[in-house]
Amino acid sequence: MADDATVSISATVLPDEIAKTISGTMTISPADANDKWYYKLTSVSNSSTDLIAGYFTDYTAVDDDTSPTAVDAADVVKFIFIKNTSATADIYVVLDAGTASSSEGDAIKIAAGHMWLGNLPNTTVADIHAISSTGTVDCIVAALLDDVA
Amino acid sequence: MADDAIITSTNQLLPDEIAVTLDGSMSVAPEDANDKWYYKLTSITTTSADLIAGSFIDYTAVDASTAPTAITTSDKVKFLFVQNQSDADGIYLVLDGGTASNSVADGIFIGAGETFVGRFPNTTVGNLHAIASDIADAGDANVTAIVAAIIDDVA
Repeated sequence: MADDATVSISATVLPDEIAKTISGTMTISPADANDKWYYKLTSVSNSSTDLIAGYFTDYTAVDDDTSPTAVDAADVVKFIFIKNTSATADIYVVLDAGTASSSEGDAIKIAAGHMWLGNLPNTTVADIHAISSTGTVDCIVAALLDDVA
Repeated sequence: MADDAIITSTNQLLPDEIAVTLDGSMSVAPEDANDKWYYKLTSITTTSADLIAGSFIDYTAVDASTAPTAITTSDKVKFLFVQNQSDADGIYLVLDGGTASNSVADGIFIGAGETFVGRFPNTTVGNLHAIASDIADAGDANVTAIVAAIIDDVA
């Protein structure tokens, strides 16, 4: 379909003696006109805060002086892609609005240079918090958000 | 390093007019002898329950009569791979010990035929719950999934 997120994954898992490479795919399609793309090269600081804020990408036709639509904290993150561009620092993400940290029980780690993606049908913009392990880390953040608010 | 999990992905993102393909990768190495591999072709039911249980794979040399090491709910899931084998039903995961469902706010959805990978520095086996479910409804059938993980045998 139009404007899909399309992911192809190759995963080598298990100990070396029995290592197996498994391929997989994921396609997330915008369900309707309210599912909108978001993109930002995002500075993730060493203080837990929202990962996503700002505006949707104008990809349905609008005239030049129409302001972009603001992302709301209640909008739902149906798909997210995060690539940590740092060579040294990690980032940690939580999905339940808790304080992101390296010691959080449900934290997701995106190590230096690594990526993570997920399909999060009920998680809101305000629920996704991120923090760096040190300093400020630039991350490529692309998402399909349901503009519910 | 030896016994790594190595993930590569090709990701097409953004609206069609400006679609971009970004490559991504993830590599997770066992830190020490306590980081052990787990594998199971897992039947996930329509009731929220632990995703992982059973025993580690014997991949350090042991004699034939040594029983495999049991996993406990306190062991930490440092890396997780899940591939949904169903062509009709999805899976929800939660990482915080809550009840997995299609309405949980922090649920991660793995659609029919889809693959998920993640790295969790602190999530225990007891906190990783799964349920077979669709997005729109609670689901009606068990789902078979390939589950592989590197687990820190802390307990």
